[in-house]
Amino acid sequence: MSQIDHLILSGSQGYFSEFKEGMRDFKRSFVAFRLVVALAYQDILAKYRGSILGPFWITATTAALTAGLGVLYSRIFSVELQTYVPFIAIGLVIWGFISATIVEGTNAFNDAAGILRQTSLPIPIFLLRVAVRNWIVLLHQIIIIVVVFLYFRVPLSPYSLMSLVGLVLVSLNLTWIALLVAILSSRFRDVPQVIAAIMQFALFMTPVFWSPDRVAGHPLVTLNPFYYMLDAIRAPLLGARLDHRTLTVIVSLAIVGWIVAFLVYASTRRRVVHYL
Amino acid sequence: MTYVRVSGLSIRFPVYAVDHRSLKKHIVGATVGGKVMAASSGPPIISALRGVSLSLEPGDRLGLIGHNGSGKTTLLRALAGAYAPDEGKLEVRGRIASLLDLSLGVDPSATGLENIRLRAMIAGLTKRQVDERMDEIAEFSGLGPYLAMPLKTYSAGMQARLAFSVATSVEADVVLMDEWISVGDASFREASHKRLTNMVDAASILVIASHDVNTIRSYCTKVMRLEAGRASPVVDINQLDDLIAA
Repeated sequence: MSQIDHLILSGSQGYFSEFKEGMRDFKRSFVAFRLVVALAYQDILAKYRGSILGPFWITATTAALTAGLGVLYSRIFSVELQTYVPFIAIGLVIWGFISATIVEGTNAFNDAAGILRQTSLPIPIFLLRVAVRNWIVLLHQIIIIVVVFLYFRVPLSPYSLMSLVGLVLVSLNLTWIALLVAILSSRFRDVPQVIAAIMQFALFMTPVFWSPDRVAGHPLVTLNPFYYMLDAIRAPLLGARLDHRTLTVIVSLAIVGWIVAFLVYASTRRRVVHYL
Repeated sequence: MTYVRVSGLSIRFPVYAVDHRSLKKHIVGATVGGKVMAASSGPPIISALRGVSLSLEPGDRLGLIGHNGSGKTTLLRALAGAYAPDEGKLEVRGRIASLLDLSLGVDPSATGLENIRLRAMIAGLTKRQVDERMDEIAEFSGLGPYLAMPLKTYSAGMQARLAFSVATSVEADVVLMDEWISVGDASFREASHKRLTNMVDAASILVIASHDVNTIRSYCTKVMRLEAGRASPVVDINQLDDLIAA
């Protein structure tokens, strides 16, 4: 992103122009992608500075959890190790990605207060920063899935690539959720606590540890958006077909969610800097 | 062609983080600040700027004077593009350098070099431009081996030197400043004064807020007074005394 050389700002000219301005904010944020990546990378560096494993600490933690829960729960649920461990490995990695993106979304704008108050940088830059930061973490986590798949010789088919489509759709969904959460958190300081509590609760209510087949048709599964996000990535990786219902749900969720989140952004974009 | 045009600019701050009732008690009789409106419901609203108009052409150096909270910083931040107007219009043609708050909330555990890179990119330089200017910025800061160390090991003066060196490394047509910046020890102060003067000289327009009459006199050609968010007309620097007396 280079310095802008023509700044025009005016009072609200009605809804239509606010939407256009909101769109322009997003466009400018994508143009500044180098800055987004630099900020996200710096966040990772800062968090793990001086530690030997660095971001691989999350990988190590998730790996230990996978091994421990894998051995224990495969017995409790009487499932074979080679079926259960890959299942829970993917579950934990994807859940970490979902949960961290949403929880960190709460501070996306609050953390950027100093910058937002004195530059014309578009606000969505700091949403993208959270998204990119979590993609970087996810890349470190994928190692777990690779190792587990190699160890248990989980067969991959070309169809497994559909999980990448799932990942893109999940990511699209997470970004709109993070945007809403970021705006709400800057205005209402209780929201970050509420979100953290919800995500903790959702971990146990979502089929991360247990198979959805055991409660098939139960509202906990059918009405849980996180189930569909998880399923969209996990099912194809484990050789199942990407369920039609799952696909329909997450595509519609992405579309409706983005429309709502964008409308909220367009109507609060002038205020966000005052909330901080 | 660089210019700054502001017409009928109003900016209002809703203040969310306070207990309304306790604040309302203090609204009456305040001698500083913008006008606080005691809305009957919802958060209290501060009218930081009320119908401010001004127009600046290349060569103009505008000094902003006024009490604490009269709207000087708000106007500067609005010119930097940080605040969307509630009413009116604001147009700035030209590259803006906003030297308002040099601390800019950058990570204290990052090294000096990382800080330079990030700050420069936030200021609007491309990655390539940052690479090109890195050596010059590092050298001017005079921080030498400290640049490889985390910012939190720096003294306040050293942090200010780093921030200053980056902030003044961008080319700008419009320079915005909240008080004339003066950082570091005696020798650095001299070098930094020269660097800042060069930057301001190279720019077409300067807008500086200051409580120091001498600063305004030495750097400005025009002056404007803000009072509770309302602006006087922009007048020639000769009329500074009249404006202060008014």
